[in-house]
Amino acid sequence: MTPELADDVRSSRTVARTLPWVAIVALTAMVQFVRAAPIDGTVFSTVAVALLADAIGIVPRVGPLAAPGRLPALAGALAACLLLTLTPRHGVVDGIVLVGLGAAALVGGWPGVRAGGRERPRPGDTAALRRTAVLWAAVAIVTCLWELTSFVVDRLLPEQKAQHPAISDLLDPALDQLWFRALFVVAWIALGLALLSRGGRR
Amino acid sequence: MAWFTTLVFVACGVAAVALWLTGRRNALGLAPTGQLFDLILGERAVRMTVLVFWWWIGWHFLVARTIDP
Repeated sequence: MTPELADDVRSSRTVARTLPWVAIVALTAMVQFVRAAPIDGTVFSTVAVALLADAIGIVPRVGPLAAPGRLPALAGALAACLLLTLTPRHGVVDGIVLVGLGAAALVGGWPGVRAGGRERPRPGDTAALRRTAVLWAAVAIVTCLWELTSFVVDRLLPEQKAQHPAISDLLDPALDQLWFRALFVVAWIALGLALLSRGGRR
Repeated sequence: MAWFTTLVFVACGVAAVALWLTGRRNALGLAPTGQLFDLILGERAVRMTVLVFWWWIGWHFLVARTIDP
């Protein structure tokens, strides 16, 4: 196989692997526009277009970033937790913090982080990883389909909305209570830090 | 019916926590969730999809209109 042909094969595999993810993000963007949330829709659309552009090779390559030190990351996370918990929900401060966190996560997450000292999965782990992936995918798909059902019921049969609440309907009143908002914010920030530290290139 | 809808969401949350805890102990033939994420998040499309959904959860519940009118 010539180097050019090998590049073509590699490139078409990248596009094929990326398209399902682009479809998921694009469909989510569409749902956001339908529910009249244009900012949310624009963010998802931008990510979908960026991923598609990257897959077909028109985005310049960027090397993996060095992960920020533990202390600055924890200090930033603590500051974000305090601001998001103690300032009014849906307020300007929360908006500024979320825009900053989104920019940091999406820009920092684009190239990925350098591989740390984590071990590669051993060949014997492959079956366990596959089982784990299938189970996580099942949980995610059931959750998304159930939430989508609530969304469709809300749109088509608004009088039935109380019978089929969405996750938002269930969590919204609780988030107005300080203790639950603190719990939610800490869990959400911790998850973000964990996600950003994963997937190092080897 | 509302109780059943809520129960399904709670069951999904419990299943996620159970998967995480079981994987941590390498029990029932499951791998740690962190190891799985190390593997799948190495792919940019997956990483960016997961990150944008993570960000949106924060945005939706803390900043934007959480409940549609």
